[in-house]
Amino acid sequence: MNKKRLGVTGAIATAALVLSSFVAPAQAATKNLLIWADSGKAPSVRAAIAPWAKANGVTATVVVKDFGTVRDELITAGPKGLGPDLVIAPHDWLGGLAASGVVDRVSNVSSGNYASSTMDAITYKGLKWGVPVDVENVALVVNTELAKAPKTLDELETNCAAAKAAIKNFKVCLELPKGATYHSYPLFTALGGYIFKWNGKSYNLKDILGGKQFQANASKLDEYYKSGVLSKDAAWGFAEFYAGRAPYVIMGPWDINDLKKQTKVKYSIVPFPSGKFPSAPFLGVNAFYLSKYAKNKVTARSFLTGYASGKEFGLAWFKDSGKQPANLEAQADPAVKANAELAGFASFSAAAQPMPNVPQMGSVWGAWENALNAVADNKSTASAAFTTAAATIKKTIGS
Amino acid sequence: MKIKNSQKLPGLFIKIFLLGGLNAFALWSVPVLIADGRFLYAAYIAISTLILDYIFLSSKFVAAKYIVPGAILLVAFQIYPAIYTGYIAFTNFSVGHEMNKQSAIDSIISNSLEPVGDDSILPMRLAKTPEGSTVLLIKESDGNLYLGNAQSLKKLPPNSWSVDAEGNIQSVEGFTFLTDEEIALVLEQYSNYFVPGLEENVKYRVADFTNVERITPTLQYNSAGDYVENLLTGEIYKPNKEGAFVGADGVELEPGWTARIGLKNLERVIGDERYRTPLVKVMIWTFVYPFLVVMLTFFLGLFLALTINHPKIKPKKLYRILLIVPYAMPGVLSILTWKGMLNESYGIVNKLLPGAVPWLSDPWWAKVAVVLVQVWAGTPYMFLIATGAIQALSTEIVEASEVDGASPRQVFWNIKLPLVVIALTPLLIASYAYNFSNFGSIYLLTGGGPVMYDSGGVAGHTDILISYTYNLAFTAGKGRDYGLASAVSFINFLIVAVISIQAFRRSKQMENIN
Amino acid sequence: MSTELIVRQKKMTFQKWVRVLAWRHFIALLAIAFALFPLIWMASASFDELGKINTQSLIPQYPGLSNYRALWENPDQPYWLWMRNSVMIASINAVLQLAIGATAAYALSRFRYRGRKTTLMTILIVQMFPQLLAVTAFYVILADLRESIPFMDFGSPIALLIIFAGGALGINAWMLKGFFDSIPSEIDESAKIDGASHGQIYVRIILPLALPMLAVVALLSFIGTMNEFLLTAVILGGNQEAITLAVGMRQFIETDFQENWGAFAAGALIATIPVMVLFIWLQKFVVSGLTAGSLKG
Repeated sequence: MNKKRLGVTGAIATAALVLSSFVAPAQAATKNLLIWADSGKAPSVRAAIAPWAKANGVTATVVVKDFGTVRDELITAGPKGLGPDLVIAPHDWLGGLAASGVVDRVSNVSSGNYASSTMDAITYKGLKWGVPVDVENVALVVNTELAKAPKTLDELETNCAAAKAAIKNFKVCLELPKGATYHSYPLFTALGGYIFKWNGKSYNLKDILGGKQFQANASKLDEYYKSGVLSKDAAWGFAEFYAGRAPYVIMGPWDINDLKKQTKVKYSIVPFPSGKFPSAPFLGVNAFYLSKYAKNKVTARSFLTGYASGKEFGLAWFKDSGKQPANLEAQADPAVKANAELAGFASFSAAAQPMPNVPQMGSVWGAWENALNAVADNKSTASAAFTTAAATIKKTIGS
Repeated sequence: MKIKNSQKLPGLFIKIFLLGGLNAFALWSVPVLIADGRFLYAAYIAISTLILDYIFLSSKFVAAKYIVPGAILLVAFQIYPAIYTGYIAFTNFSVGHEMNKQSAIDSIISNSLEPVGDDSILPMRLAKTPEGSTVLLIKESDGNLYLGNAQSLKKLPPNSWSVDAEGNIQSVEGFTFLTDEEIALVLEQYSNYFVPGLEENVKYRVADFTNVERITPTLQYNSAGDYVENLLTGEIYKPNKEGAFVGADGVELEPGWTARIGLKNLERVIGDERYRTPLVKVMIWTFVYPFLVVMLTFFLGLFLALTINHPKIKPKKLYRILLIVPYAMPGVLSILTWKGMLNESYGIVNKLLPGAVPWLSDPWWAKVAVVLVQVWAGTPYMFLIATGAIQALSTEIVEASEVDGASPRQVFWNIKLPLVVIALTPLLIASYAYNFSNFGSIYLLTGGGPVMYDSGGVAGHTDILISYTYNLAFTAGKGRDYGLASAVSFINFLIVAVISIQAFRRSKQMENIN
Repeated sequence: MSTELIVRQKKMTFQKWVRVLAWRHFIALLAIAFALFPLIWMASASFDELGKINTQSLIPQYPGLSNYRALWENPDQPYWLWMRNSVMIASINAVLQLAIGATAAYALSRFRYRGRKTTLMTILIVQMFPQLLAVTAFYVILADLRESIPFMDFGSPIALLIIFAGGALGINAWMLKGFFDSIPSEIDESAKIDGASHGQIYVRIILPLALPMLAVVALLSFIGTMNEFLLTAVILGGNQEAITLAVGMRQFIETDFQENWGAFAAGALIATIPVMVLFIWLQKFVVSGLTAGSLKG
């Protein structure tokens, strides 16, 4: 029996040896670049990088990653040598990535290529960290058959009162889903709100959710839920707007495909009106970040500084993704300007503020959403709810 | 053994094959693992193999032959991860504290690299010396061409090289430029490569295919004193006990490293008022919710199984197939669908009901909603195992009692039901434990809400311990705090384990074990 | 139920039919209606080209098959490859779970040895550890092993199956033990007297008698693997060609603001088909287990 086993051992060991000789990768004499992207962005990255990769003899591999887990994977996989060279991600991840020490700075990208708010978005603790790819912000979408585009918040209220009387089965005027934080920012800022007070250079993490400035106008939110401008039953999917019963809705460029697909509603995309304070959407910037553990840093840096920050890439990106390129020259290109929907969203982008990229944002969303829910459900006045939320955030950040 | 050898042959063959395979694997992998310095894994494989050999080649350990193979896998892939998580609970593993100290220092220094001068980007070519080693040829802004590698930088005679109109290096005497193919082969070596510069602390880093960048670190680590110094301001950053370098003004350098912080995470859980205040309410619901779910799903499942398991029910198979559909759907989808269906004024559920039920915004109705949805999702499982149980026991025990003259009703209440309950008790306990920490069922439907406003807005009325602490641990400070989360989940685990053991001791199943 | 019982009930008056059967049908149909109720909305979303999960109209506003077409047409999200992976991994895992679980359950049910109680307790308690966090540990284990042992690497289904096998001595073993306990021990006693070894008793007597439960356990672990997300995502996530449906379909909804619920619903509805097929197939075994049970006496 022992002899038999020895035979088996030998056979298996040989097989293992033979197999392992296949496992060793063949040395490919090309430059390599490994990029992680979520499924929404991967095809566009692939398309936009192709001309550069071909011209420079680079084999660029774009791996699709789950948007929800890519951040954790980057932090765990990077140091083990399993990470990518580049990752494309929204800029609000930057603080966390930088704090974890998993991304490298990209200091030699010309700021002149981008709007200053775009550069602010990829600046963390005074240092520049990534290369912006596209920019996006929400805007007001108006059902032009039901109402006019409002110039001021007061006008929006008046139009809503009229709509309420005129529309059959009216449920809501501005279809803002309950608890929608990001989407409600234009309304929040029009009433004096902000997340962290921006002192021109960095955020004051102690001055939270609008402070006194918002408190003075907070009762407007309560009013809106009573008068039908807003509704606690508004939900994602914008069913009322698409059914032609809600005149206003706040959407982002990612909704363009749906807007074009539907046929019931004639729409125009305009800036959200200002109230006592100027209205501002969040500016979202998708950017390439260089992994600290990149195996092909030289290739990656060449791509970032030599191509990704230029006009050509911006146009290629626009062509495949239909998104507003971050590069200013690309934005000015007639092909980009001709896109009516993008132009609509862009009309509001001058006012946009970059979403804070500090890692402490994690504690903001939940508390903010709770406050919005409380107001919607009439469990609390907006003033009290936002005071509570600010206190909660302060505590959470402190811990 | 009286059995003829021929009957045992297939068994013997399988035994030799499996043991042989295992030993072959061990003989191959243990040396590899030792060579790679992974002694824990090597030892585990070696010892496991020896134990299995010993057990299977001896005729003594009959029971062990059946249990040990599974137990070895259990220890490796269930118990070890649990212990590892327990270890995390005593560290500050969280965003900004994920790496070890050395990596943190490297990261801090490399983040402090700043370009030197406005003309910090300089033309560069990779070239071969006559001896065949690869070097960098760097055209400095002083107009000179330098030859550099990781050790040194040397000026080349001005007349030995030329540049083209755009300032790119065109030819250098005695050097051959690398071809694209050659560059591709060596490029990876230059990912973290620095050439010493003309001044102290100034270095060149390869910026792209044809340029270097002149840079200098603004921070320096002093290993003798274990501190980080800012070279521009002279400020000193000293390490604290929580894995970070801190300046005199309290400013922390990022990133920090993972430090053992003892019982601090536990103290935070128990000592923090945000935990304590709503904790009683959350705890009560944490116990009530799985109890309701298990009881309702079990009795519904059993009732359905008994109802349908009748010889005269013809489309029995069809009924069963349709009944398990909810179980076969991914939970993310079905729970979110329910969320839409329970919407207060658009939802179909309220359209079918006479009144408008505030399913997701009223504390009590929200509790009803999470239980309802979990009953929908969990009943098929109970239905399945109850069906299996009923069929497995409808043999001679039942027949015997029927022969003894018991009525069908008596047979059911006195024989069948107790037997089914006994057989399924461990599963009920396991199901209780599962729902005790069934994060998704709460998080996806209500997110723990509606919020308890009197508690400072952190906890919600449908929050169970795990969803509540998830919200805290994953939103606190700079984001995900695995140390805190591990501490909480360990407390969670201890509570479930103690309760389960108690419940288990009382159950009739225990008599069976004794 | 014995055969005589069935014969006795053959002639049934209408009154008796109502008393014995009608309510059963009624309850069954009621339960099915409850079970399938949300599915109608999922189906509706899957046929709506604007597919939003909470579009509340039953009839799709923009009906079309684009969500289903997307399952074929997007090379970045190879739905059918994922389906194949899922079915393969779930099937192999079901077999492994049965092999390891049933073997251990046999010993736990039939042998009395020292430490048996401890084994049972350990198995039960380990089950209760929330997996939400243990994934980090698996990550560390694989990251350590991958350089030494090629198949213990990220993206390798073998690694996933081995890790799953660690859980075989869990609730499945418990379930099977419970059923082995209900098989009278006199049967194996008499076989032992006839000269059968413990291995033969296990393979030739216990396993066939436990067929209904084996079928149930196989089905449960098949479904469990089909829907398992956390661990599979960590281990296979890096290899887009190796992932399972549960992991891959998350990409439909886990992208930045562009949730494609329509395609997700379409994919999820189709994904239930393998489970249904397996269930229909295993039903035979559940029933034949019944017959085997009555033959044995």
